Amino acid sequence: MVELEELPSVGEKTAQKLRDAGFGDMMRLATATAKELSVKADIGEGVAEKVIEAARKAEQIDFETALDVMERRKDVGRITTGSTAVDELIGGGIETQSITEVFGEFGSGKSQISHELAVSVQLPPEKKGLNGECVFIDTENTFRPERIEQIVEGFGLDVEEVLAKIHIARAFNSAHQMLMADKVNELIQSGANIRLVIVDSLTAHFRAEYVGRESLATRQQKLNQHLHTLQNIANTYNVAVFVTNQVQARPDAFFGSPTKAIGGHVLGHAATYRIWLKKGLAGKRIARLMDSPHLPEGEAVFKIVTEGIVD
Amino acid sequence: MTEISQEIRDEYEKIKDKISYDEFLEEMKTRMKDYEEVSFMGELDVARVIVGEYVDEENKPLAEDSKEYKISELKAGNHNVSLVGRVKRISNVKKFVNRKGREGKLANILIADDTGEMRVVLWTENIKLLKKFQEGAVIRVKGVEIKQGFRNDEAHLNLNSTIEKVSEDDYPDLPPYEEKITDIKDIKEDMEVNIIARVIRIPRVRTFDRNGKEGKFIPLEIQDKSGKTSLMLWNKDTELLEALDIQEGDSIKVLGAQSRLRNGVISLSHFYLGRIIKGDFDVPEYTESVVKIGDAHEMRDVTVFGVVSKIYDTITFVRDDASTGQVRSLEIEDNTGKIRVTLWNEDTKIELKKGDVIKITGGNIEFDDYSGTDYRINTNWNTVITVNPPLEDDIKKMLEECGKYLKPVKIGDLNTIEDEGEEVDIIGRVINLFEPNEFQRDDGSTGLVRSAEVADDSGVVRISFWDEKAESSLNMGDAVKIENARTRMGTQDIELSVGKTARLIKPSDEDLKDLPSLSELEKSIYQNKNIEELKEGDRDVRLIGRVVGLDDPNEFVRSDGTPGVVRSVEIGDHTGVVRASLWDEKAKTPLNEGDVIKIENPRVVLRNDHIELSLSRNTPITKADEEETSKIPSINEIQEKRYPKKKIDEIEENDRNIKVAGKVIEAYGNKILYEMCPNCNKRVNPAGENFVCEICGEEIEEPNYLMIIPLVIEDETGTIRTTFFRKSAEELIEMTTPEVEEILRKTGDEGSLEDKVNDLLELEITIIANANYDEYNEEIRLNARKVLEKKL
Repeated sequence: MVELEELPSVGEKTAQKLRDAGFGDMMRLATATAKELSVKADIGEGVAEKVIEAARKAEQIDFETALDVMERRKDVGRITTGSTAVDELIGGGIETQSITEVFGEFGSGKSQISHELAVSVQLPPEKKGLNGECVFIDTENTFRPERIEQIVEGFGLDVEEVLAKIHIARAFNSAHQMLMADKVNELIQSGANIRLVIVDSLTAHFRAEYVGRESLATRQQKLNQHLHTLQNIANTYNVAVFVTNQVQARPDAFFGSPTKAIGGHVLGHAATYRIWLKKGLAGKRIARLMDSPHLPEGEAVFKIVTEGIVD
Repeated sequence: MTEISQEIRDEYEKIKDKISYDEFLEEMKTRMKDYEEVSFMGELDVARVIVGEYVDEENKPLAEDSKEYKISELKAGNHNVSLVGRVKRISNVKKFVNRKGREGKLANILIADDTGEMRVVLWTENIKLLKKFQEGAVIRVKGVEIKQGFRNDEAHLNLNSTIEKVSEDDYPDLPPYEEKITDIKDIKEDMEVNIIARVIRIPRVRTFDRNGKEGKFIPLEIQDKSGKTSLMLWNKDTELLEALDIQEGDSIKVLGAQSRLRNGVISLSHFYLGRIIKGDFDVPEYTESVVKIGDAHEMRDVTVFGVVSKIYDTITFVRDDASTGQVRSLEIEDNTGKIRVTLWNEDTKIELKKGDVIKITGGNIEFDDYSGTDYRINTNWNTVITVNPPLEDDIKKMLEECGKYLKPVKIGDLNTIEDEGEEVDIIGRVINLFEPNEFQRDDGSTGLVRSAEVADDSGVVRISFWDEKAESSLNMGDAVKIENARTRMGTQDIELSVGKTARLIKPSDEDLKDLPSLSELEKSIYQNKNIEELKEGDRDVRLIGRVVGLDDPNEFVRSDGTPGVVRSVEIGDHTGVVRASLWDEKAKTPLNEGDVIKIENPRVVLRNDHIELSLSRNTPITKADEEETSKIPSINEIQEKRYPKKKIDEIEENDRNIKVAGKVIEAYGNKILYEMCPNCNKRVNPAGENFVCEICGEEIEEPNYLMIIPLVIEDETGTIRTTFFRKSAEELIEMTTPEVEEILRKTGDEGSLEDKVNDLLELEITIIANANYDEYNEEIRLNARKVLEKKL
């Protein structure tokens, strides 16, 4: 392990600054941008560039062969959603190193899946978990420990133990939400075995704060930045990122679906898996995989019951 | 029948006491014609038929000597042979109609002995023999003829042929018959199978083109405990359903069906030697599982009930092979949601209306990003669409409840809709129709739009029809039903837009029940007003009046460079006279002074403190009918009313259109023509040779001329200065301005008409005039508008 101080142009002070700004880890540093680093750690952009360059060398981040990628993909872990049908749909559960997005109308089950995953990530691998902890960035105050309790009972686990491994972060506005995402880096560096980051909901704050067409560009930039942070966490620490999204009515739709996921292309491109949820009758839900790089479009039906998500 | 054979004569012998030989021959002739089409009926056969009708004696097996053969020994041309075999197949009886229109029947059986198999053909008269045996029986077929068939040699029965069951113990060498029933799931390609199944769906007959001839088939959906498949009935076989009275839900046994692999799916075809037997067989009851629309996701072969909530027009498209196809979309809903349905080709012709309940059996639900309902039900050639099927009470009630809102809105209620883009249905009558207008779209293509006003007993709405809808033939007074029209905010009220997704349909009698006639509607919509009652901004006004003044149309150029025309008309009734401006195409309306006209929906505007009417495209002008005409006073009566008589001392400042009579006591004729700038119509002064306009500063080569004749007139109460401009001046001296101009130019003396003007002196004249206060001279002066009378 290369220490920060060993990098060129990094003295004790700079190292401290970097650590304070959450760049204590070489991987994190290597995947940062010069601009980001100079702003967050308050160092010159030239220095930042050099530091990043050096960090990349130290971590050997350069071109990688497809074989390397394949190797890295082997480390990909999967977390069960509780429903075998949905798991199969997305290739065995939600994936680490990826962002999985679910979107759907109110009541379609987005937060239910979030709760379920917060528990199932703690299961041992033979039960399709990752034996890991979870960060829950809650923007709409949807997190309910009682719900976790019910789900935990379904799995027959110890409630307190499970709750202790769910790190809740209430985000009060979009800036706060972005900060919380940054903090995940620190949390992981401090030694927590985080394998899943949930953002529920990803877009609510952005949507509320950046109103109107004129602020659309800003909103999309911020959102992009936020997603970038999340993607970095996913790649750097082999973590699964799960975000929920609302749909918006498309009033201009004479033809075509009147509902569309918020976030536009930015989100569409960032999320590796996009799952659209539809409410059926009698607790039934339909999950549809929208655009995945290597899986066919398809659907799965699941149910939401007291114990969580089932087939 | 040139030569009567001995055999036929022998036949006649049997009935010689009953009919004469000539009668017999005559009968032969007619019968032969009847049997022309039936190849196996020879003259002898016909003779036997006739004889048979006269003799009651039982048909003795004639062929005592008919020889029994093995199947392999038989060849085409053998007559009167017998064969014994085991029945392997018995076909369903098929009906046919020969070219003469006679109905016949036909059945095939397949029999086998230890040497081979042979098809045995039974005709109309032989069909009853089928009752004697079933598959597996051993039979002796006697007195048949062997003919070359389409595939192999066949044994044809004739009238005297018989079939009898014989004991199988006497024929131990015959191959066995085994009726093995195959489960549907076990059917593979190219098998001949027997199955027992339940008919779960009878799709309608499909047609296809078979080398220019029309072929048809029904793909019967059948199911047993192991699975589902379709049983194809081709061409004639499609009639079997009726003949056997097969309904959905019946159980059937199908013997000898053949399996085929088509598009990766195994299906069965009814074989010409196969048999369908309706019966009470042991197959599970079929219960249809109905999908609620709210549960829709990707699913195949579903049954859905819904009430039709939206219908789109059928679209015709061209396939890659240049053939055309049709596609039509619907939206149906139940109490859990709505979903789009796509119908193709033949199915697009199914008669449907909003509020109908349809049952779709065998549709596939597909994800569809463009449907607006996320999913749609796609139909195919195997889907059954039933309109208003019999329903269980609770489903019926639920769907009725769902469809309750699906009814046209009253036009008067449209204004309670606040949003643009809402879809509504209306029924109304066209009360106003305008010419279609072409326009250019942003993409450069041309569009067409046509406006109309449609009314029902509650109100009127303006509707724009776009493109093909604008081309549809519409006439004043037509009753129309419009579905899915979109609301939009007009200048004052909600208007409707009828484009691609909307439908313009002929209303049913039921729809028309409450729709008033055109004249009733016009009466109820427009408020009759007389001229005195007109107020600025009045809407939906109808005015009947007489044309009392008519100017020539005036062409002008709009600020955007386009040319325009306007014509001023004065219209009067018993309460007054109003000026109306007729714009553009309205200016071309043929009008004569004295006409009584009806004006509907004019704009009532205030100009120069006077109410005026503005009549443009959407203001219809029609001739009033006799009754209406009779109520309008004559021109003279109107003029009387219009121009109050005043004595000179009664004249007040700003009097308009007053009638004044008096004697001319002074006339000024030394200069009656004034030069005017043709640009600004202002007086110009001579500057050397030419004129210069003080307003525009231009030097003018050819000025316009304005005739002005000032007079002083006098009655018993006083005198007043009166100026005659233009038209009134022309009327006064009975010369036109160009004439005056000509004279002045000829004489070169601007006072050359002074004498003519002076001739007016001492004349009694009656004029219509306006009174103005002349600030400079501090007196009231008259401005003559019209000269009514001149006399000494």
